[in-house]
Amino acid sequence: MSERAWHEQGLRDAALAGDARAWRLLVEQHQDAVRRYLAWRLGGCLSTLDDLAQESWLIAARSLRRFAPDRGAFQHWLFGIAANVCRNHLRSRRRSKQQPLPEHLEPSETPVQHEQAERVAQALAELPEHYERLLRAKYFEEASVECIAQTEGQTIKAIESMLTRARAAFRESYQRETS
Amino acid sequence: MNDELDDILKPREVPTASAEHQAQLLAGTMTQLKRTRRLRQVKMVALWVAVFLIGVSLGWLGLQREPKQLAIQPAPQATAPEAPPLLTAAQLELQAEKSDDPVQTAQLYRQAGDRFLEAQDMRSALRCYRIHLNEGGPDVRAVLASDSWLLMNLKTTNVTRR
Repeated sequence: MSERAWHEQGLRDAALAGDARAWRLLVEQHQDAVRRYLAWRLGGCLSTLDDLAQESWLIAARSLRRFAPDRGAFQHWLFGIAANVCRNHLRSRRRSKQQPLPEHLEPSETPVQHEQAERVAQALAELPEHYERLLRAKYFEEASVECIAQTEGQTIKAIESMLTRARAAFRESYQRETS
Repeated sequence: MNDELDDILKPREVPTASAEHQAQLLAGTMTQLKRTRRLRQVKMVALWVAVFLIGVSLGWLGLQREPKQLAIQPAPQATAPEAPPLLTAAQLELQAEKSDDPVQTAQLYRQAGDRFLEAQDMRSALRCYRIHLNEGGPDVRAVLASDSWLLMNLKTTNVTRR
């Protein structure tokens, strides 16, 4: 087990045993990353960011026991939860026939920017998980292809090929949302 | 198109969470953690109680069920040898008179003599011992440790007379 896994395992166990400091440390360490990830998933639409972040953390607290440090980093586990929260949020918005704009937009957002952000968010939400993971590594985490290949346990050639397919899938989905 | 994607999918600048939001998030998640822990404890207690109750129920059901009837056979009673009826001296004498076997007749007269002696009836004891010595022949004339004093006396007198 790596040092990271030991550290996260210790914090997880302490938090589950009722240690408030351990949980506070986990939140403080990863709060900004979760917010940045949600903002990326939402295409930059920040009006629902706080609510979705809160919901993601509540789910994380409820299902903390399921987090297995030896299977991956706490941050990636949190990103998985945030991605589901995002997907559910967009699905429920889509289900309602009318999709009114939120009552308050962020000061930096125009209605056009907001609509584009929604399209990006919908397009990302429709991607298969492995494509989303590749695009996240490439664009959100700004990792090199070599680094992604090492993390995924694939060759550079394979990752490049998968990235091409992931981009194509995203583009298709995004264009469908636009039309 | 790649350039367009780079622009669309680039990481966004996000304002850090306000102190109020952060406090709210911590409070909410801490409550959630406590609730989850308590729920788990309650579940564990409920599980143990359920296991205990199932055990008690099974035990109770086991007690309610009628015990299997085992075919118990009486142990064969040891046949104690019937004690010979305690005959009186007169009865022994009578049996001796009826007996055809000389050895048995001699034995019965001797027993009758012993009984008469116990009952302090010297004359009858003397009579029975004499017949015993006459009927038994030389085999019974040897003095034995189990002989009564009267019988022993008769035997020695007989020997002396000889």
